Formats: sequence, C-alpha cells, structure tokens
Amino acid sequence: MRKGPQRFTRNKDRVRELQRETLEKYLHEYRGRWRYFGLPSSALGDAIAWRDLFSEFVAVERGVEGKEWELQHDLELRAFRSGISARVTQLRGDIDRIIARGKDSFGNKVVFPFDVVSLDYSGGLFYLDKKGKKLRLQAIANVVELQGKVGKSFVLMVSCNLDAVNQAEVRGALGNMKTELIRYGAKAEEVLAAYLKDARDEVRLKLYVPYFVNQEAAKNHYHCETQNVIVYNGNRGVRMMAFRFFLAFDQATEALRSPRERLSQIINKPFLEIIDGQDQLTTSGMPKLEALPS
Amino acid sequence: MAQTAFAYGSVLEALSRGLYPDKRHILREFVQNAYDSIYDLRKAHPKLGIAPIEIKIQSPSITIADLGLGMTYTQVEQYRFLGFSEKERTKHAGFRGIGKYSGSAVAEKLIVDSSPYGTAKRFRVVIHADLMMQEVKAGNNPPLERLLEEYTEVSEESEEAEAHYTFVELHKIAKDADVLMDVSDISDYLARAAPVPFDPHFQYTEQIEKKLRENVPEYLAVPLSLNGSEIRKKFFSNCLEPEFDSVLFDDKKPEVLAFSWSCQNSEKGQFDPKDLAGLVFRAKNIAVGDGQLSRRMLWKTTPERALHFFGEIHVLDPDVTPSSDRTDFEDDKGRTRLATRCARIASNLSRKAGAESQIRRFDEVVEKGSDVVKARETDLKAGKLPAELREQVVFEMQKIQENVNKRLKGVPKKERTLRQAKRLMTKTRRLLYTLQTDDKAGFVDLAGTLRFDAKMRTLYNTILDVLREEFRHDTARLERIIRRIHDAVKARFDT
Repeated sequence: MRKGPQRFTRNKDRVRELQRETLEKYLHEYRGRWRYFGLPSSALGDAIAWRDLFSEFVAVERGVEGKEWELQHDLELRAFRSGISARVTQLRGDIDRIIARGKDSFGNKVVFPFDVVSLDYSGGLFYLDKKGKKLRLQAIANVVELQGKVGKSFVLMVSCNLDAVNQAEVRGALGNMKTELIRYGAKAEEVLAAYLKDARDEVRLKLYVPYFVNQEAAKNHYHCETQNVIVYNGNRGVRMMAFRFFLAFDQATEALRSPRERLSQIINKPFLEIIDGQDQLTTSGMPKLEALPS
Repeated sequence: MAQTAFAYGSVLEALSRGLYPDKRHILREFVQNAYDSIYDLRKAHPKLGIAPIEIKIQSPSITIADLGLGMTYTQVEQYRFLGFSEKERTKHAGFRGIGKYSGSAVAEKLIVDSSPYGTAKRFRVVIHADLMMQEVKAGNNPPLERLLEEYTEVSEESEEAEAHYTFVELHKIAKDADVLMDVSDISDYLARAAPVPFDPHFQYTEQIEKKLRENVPEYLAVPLSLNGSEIRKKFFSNCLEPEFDSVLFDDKKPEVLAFSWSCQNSEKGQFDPKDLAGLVFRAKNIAVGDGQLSRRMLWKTTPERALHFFGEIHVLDPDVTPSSDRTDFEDDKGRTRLATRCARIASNLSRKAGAESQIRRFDEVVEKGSDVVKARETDLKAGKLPAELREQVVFEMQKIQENVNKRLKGVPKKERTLRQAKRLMTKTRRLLYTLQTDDKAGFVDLAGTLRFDAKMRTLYNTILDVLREEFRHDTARLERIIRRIHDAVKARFDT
C-alpha cells in the first residue's frame, strides 16, 4: 500500500500552535511576508497552519525511495487544494543534502536567508550517512552558518524522535557542560549526574540539542534564545521532541561564548509535555541547578 | 499462430511525439482540458464563480490545475484510453482524446487527480510514460492495449464533499522539452493562445469584451495564473479604436459564422513585433494558429496589410474543426466556407489600410514639402542660398506642387492637412514667382562677387556642369558640394 500524506495528531497540532506563538513572539516586522524553509511534510501542515504569516514556503520533500514522485506530487496537490500553490516552492530530495549542496536533486537552488527554518524530522537527529557523517546535526550547523553569512535573525525549529541517539556524543556534551558550569562555580555534579543516569534519552537531548545550537550560534554571531523543549507522543505513539530557538544576529558578537546563565537556564527550563493535545510544564523529575554565585 | 493485435505501441510514440512539433502546444492541450472542465461546471452550476486555472512550472515538473467540474471514476478510467473522449465536438475545445497522451512525449509520468463535483472522492490516474516508451524503444513494440493497461493505474481516496477539481502533473520534463520550462516564453505563449481575459491596461478591453459577450455565444474567458502571475491577452497600445464585424453563413442563413474585432496601427505601417500582429482565429476562445494563418487564408492581395492590424476572429461555425495541434483547421468544407466568407474581413481591412496609407502619405508629402519651402525661404531671406541652386529650388517647388495636386484627388483627408496643403501651394507659387521674376531674390552670386571675367565664368560654369551631371541623382550631395565651395572661397578671399 502506498504511503499517503502524513496525518497529524492532536498533539502535533498543539505543537504547531506553540511554534506559532514562538514565531509571533520573536518575528515582529513584515508579518505576512516571511520566508519559510523546511520540512512541512507532503500534507503541508506548517504551511497551511501559518499561511497568514508567510509569503513563501520553500518546502522540502524527499518522498519514498523508488516512488519519490508520489509524495512530491501529493505536496503540490495539497498546495493547490489549500490555495497556496503559488507561494510554495518544492525542493526535492534529502533536506540535509540540499542544505549542504545548496540545491535540490533537480538543481533548484536554496536562496538563503529565511525568517523561519523548520527541520521537522520524523526520525532521529543522529542518523549517519554512508560515510558516517552526522548529516542532520551538520545541517543544523550549516543553516546557522548560511543564515549568519547574511546576518539574518531567525527562528529555528527542530523536531525529532529518539531513534539512534549517539550516547557517546550526548554524554560527552553533557560532560562539557558540567566542566563549564563548575568553572563558573556552579554545583553541577549532582544535577548532571542525574541527567546522565536517567533511563530516558529525552532528558539528555533536552540539554544536548540547545547546547549544540548555542555553540553553533555563537560561532556565527548569534545570540540564541531557547524556548521550553516540547515532548509528546506522535503518530503510532512514537515519542517526539520539538525544539524552538530564536537566533538574534549581532555583528558585534565576536565568537560569543555561551554565557553561564544560558547553561543553567537550559538545564532548569522545564519541559512542555503535551498529552491529548493539552500542554503542561514538567521537570520530568529532574533536579534543578542552584542559582550561580553572583 | 501468434496472437495478433490491431494497434501497437509505436502508434503511441508516433501520436504523442509526431503530433506536436512545437511542444508548447502540449501545455495548451492541458489548458484546453481545464477550460472544458470549467465550461462544464459553468453549464451545470451557473451560479458558481470561475476560479483561475493554475499552472506551475518548477523543475522537474509542470502542474496544471483547475476548479472545474472534475472527472468521475468512469471518466478517470477512460483517461487511460487513447483516442477516446466523451466530450462533444460542438461544445468542448478538446474532444479527440489524444492530447492527454501528448504529455507522455515530454514527461516521465502523467499524474492526474480529479474530484468530481458532488462526490467525496478523489480519483488518480498515473500514466507511466517512461516505462511505456522504454518498452516501445526496446523494440518489443507490444500491442497498444497491453501497454496502456500495464503502465497506467487508477486509484481512489476520500476527499472533501464539496471539492471539485482536476490536478495534472507532467512529472520530470524531458531535456528535449526544455522549452516548456521557460516561464517567460510560456507566459507569452499562453497570453496569445489560452482563453484568458484581456489585459485590463489595454485601452479597449472593456469595449471589446462587452462586444464579445454580446456576439459570441457562450463566450468564456478563464483567468489563468502561471507561477502566481496572472496571464492576460496583451495587445499593442498604439492602435486606433476597434472595429467589429459579424460574418454570416450566407444571405439565406442569417446566422453568425464568425465574429471579428480588429484594431489598426495608429502609426505608420505594420505592427512590430510582427508575431503579435494580425488577426488570430479563435475557437472556444482558444487560438488556432497565429496572425499568419488568417493572413494566408484570407488576404488574397496586399497580404502585408494584414499586419497593419491585430485582433481576433471568433469562429462560431460548428463545422469548422481545429487541427489536433491547433495550428490550422481541418481541411474540409467548413474551412473552405470560413475562408470564403471571412475573406470579406480581409478585403475591408485591406481597403481601410490602403486608404489610411494614402492619407498618411498625403500628410507626409505636405509635411515634407512645408519643411523644404520653409528651409528655402529662410535661406533666401538670409541671402545665403548659392545662385547655382536656383534651378534646383525651382524644380523642388514644381515637384511639391505636382505631388500635392496628385494626392489632392479622390482620397479622404484630414481637415488640418488640407488647410496646410493649401498654405503650402500658396507659398510654392509665391516662391516660384519670386524666382522667376527677381534675378537676385536672395541668392549669393559667387561669380559676380569675385568679379569673374568671361573666361573665368566659363571655366566655373563648366566645372559646375560636370558636377551637376555627376550628381544628378544625388541633389542633396550636389548642394552640399556647392555650399562647401562657397564657404571655402569666402574664407580664402575673405569676401
């Protein structure tokens, strides 16, 4: 049976509402004329939900191997049915490769910058390509760099599931966070130990992904503001995470280092957990970091 | 004995590839289908508005979508059939059931989704043109029946109850059909060929569209957008008011066979660029050929005058059938009658262009003559005209009188030009009188000023005679030489 366009759960709809709040909070100017780049799926969920905010959607669809045309066709059909066909530009292929090469499988170029980049992966963040490269993390880094080259502030949204989490890398990053926090005088050992011991990957990713994005932002003259990380159950009960960042460009910010407050904020910011379309803040049972000595 | 079939795969290749040497006509085929679907919707539900046909060109695909009546399951099933169509020749723009397969000549796949009005279903037909052609090219040349059955598929899904549309994707356009991906060229092509509304900036849009609605039964212009930009019929703005003409079948059958409108160039001669000039036949408001077709069919004499006009001839005769590629009409009695009856349009316009051309030529003669007289008068008044040019000036004045007199007869003229012509004739008469009666009359006599003796005068006149002989076909150059001689002598002798 053919893979049909993605259907969205109530939880995903709520995620989209929360993402919209992020957009409206951070992007004030030229509302209605923003440019979107990302993975709205062939059902064009983002584009339809946010049609009033954007003048252009650059939507990437890879399709199912061997039958790529099917979902790509569905995306165009959906765009037409939703009355946004003229505003949707489809790029065909794998988004990570498209970002790396600057063009899709048919030579259509990606023209940076965008107001919103939404990397709404249905799988995990740590997938490797045949050469062992972490394409998705590299894609995030590339996006930040490409946006930074033209000095554009933007909202970055990343969604993923908990597949194939690279434990060594995550634990290494948490170790770096601990070292940094201790250097600033924080009592971080116990808190980070709790995160490392916890059975759930999502608690570690709640720290890892914002830490990673902060690092990339700092390299490219951005101040990064992280919003509460969302966790929810998606289609077929798959555990999903959604991250929202606002990257404010500041040319004066030369190789910005993560401010110590940032790390403690990342750790202490509770999850937003969505159950049956309702969200609530939760620490997920994780300890908080004490306020740093002034 | 091996199983036989009555048609084989290579037929498909020949039909799809051979039918449209200009690949842009393939796109027009799909626009035509969209138009028919909208026409059907309007007939069935007149109160519903007309939504634009949307075309999107983005590598590697082209999509053509309409919010027309849509296709039922049976119709979608029949979409797979070659040369089958239930559309009516007299009502629809396309009716042969071949055009849809033209897409297989330029695309890897044809994917068509359709949701019929009043049915909460969406049907999809996929034609795997690449696989079909591969098999034909591999030399297998399978029976057509098997090819169409094997490489086409139909499926269905649920859809919103109120939906009604058809959405076609020509997936992966072939390299040799690159012309279809040229958005600018396709935009121009559709503006000429598609049944789109007039450009609102064209000064006679309202007037012409009103007349078309009144005189062309079921006249339908459908908005069309290409990559989000609206496509409109564009025309030259440097034109005179439109003229309209209803051509009847014959005196005994007072029904309209064709309705035309045309605008003449308000400037001299043909319109430029020429490919936008001429009268274009339209059947169901879709172009048949270009301005050259009506020129060939209708202009028996002075064909160059066809391009002094632009406009349309809407063919209403149900017996006139456009050819498959719509570059002409099928060569039958209908076409012959169309050509015979509409020849009147050409002869009227030709006469009009002829008259206009004569008026313009008269204007030019008067204007040019006035300039010459003015220049000569100024020179004479300033005493600057070499005496050697006296004969030439006399000749010029006589020639002006002759030209004006010749064009004064028979042809209608503008009142203003007539007054100007009369003034010109008076001036030339006055100037001629002066030249004939006054020896000096403002001329510069070089021989007299330098007091040439008889020998010198003879020598100078001999040189001048040689020059006159040499430049008798180029009087302007002769005049320049004489003026230069005067200037040089004056400078040398400080006269």
